[in-house]
Amino acid sequence: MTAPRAEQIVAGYLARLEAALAPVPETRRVELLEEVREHIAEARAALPDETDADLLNILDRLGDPADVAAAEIGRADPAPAPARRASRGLEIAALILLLLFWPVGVVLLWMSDAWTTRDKLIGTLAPPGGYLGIFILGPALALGTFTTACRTISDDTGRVISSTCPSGLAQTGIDVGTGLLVVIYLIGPILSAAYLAVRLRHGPESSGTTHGESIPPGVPAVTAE
Amino acid sequence: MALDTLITQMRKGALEYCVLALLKDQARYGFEIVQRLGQIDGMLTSEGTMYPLLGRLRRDGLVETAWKESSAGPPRRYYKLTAGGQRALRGFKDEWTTFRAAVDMILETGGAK
Repeated sequence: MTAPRAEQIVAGYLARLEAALAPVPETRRVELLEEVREHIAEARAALPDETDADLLNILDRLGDPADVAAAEIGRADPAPAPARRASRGLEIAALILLLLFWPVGVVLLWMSDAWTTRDKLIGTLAPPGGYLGIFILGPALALGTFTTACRTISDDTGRVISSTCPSGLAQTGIDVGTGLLVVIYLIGPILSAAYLAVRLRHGPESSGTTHGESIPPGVPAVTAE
Repeated sequence: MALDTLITQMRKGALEYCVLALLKDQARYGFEIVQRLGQIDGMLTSEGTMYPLLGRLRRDGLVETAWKESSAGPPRRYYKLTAGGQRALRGFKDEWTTFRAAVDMILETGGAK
C-alpha cells in the first residue's frame, strides 16, 4: 500500500468521527479524536507489514464513527420512554377550568401532552366557550325567552282568564329551540369534559403500546431454561 | 426482553467494571486496555467506544490520567484507578459474586434447596 492512500483512509475515518462528534464540546472532541488517532497509530505500528486490508480491519474493529460518537454523546442507549407522570395536575386543572373559566382551560388543554390533537380539537370546539359561553349567551337567551314568553293568567278554578302568547305555534317552536340550546349549553361542557377525562385515563396512545409488555397474572416473569 | 438485548445490556453494564479491574494493579494506556479486552471474546464489540467509556469513568472520578514517556513513539496517556474507582470495583465485585451465585444456584437446581 502506498502511504498517502493509507493516510487518506485514516484521515477520512477521523473526519467522519469529528463530524459525528459535532455536539461534543471542543476540548473533549479534540481529546477524543487524539485518542482514536493514537489508537490507530499504535495498531498500525504493531503490524509487521501493513496492507490495505489490515488498515481497514483496524478501522472496522474501531467501529462506525457514528457508534463511537453515540457512545460519547450518550445516545447509545435509546432514551427510555418518558415515564407516565404520576401527577395529572395540569390536566385536572384544564378540565375544571374548561368548565369554569374556559379561556384558561383551553390554554391548559393545549399545553398538556396527555391528549391527542384530535381530542384537543374536540375539547375546544364542542361546545365552544364552556360555561363562559353561557354567561355571554345566557342573557341573550334569557332575554329572548322573557320577551317571547306566554303570560297565562288563571282564576282559582284553573280556568284560563287570559293568555298573551303573541302567536301560539311559532312561539312553541322558539321555546323548544331555546330550551334545547340551554340544555346543550348546560350539559355540553360536562359531556366534553367527561370525554376528555376518559381519554386522559386511556392516555394519548390508546393503541395499547403501554400494555404490550404487561405480563398476564400467574405467568412467571422469568422463565429460567 | 429478547435474549440478545439482555446480553448486550449485561455486557455493557459489566464492561466498565472490567475496565476498572484491568486498572486495579497497574496503570494502562487506552490501546492496551482495548487490546486486552479484545482478546476476550464478546467483551468489546466496537473498540472505538472504549474511549468514550474511559472519558466517562474519568468524569465520574473513577479513573485519572497521566502522560508517560514511551520507549517507542510519543508519550502515552495512562489511565489509573482513583480511590473512588477502587471502592466502585470492590462494590461491584461483591454484588456480582452474590448475584452470580444466586443465578447459578437457581439455574442448576431450579430453586430447590
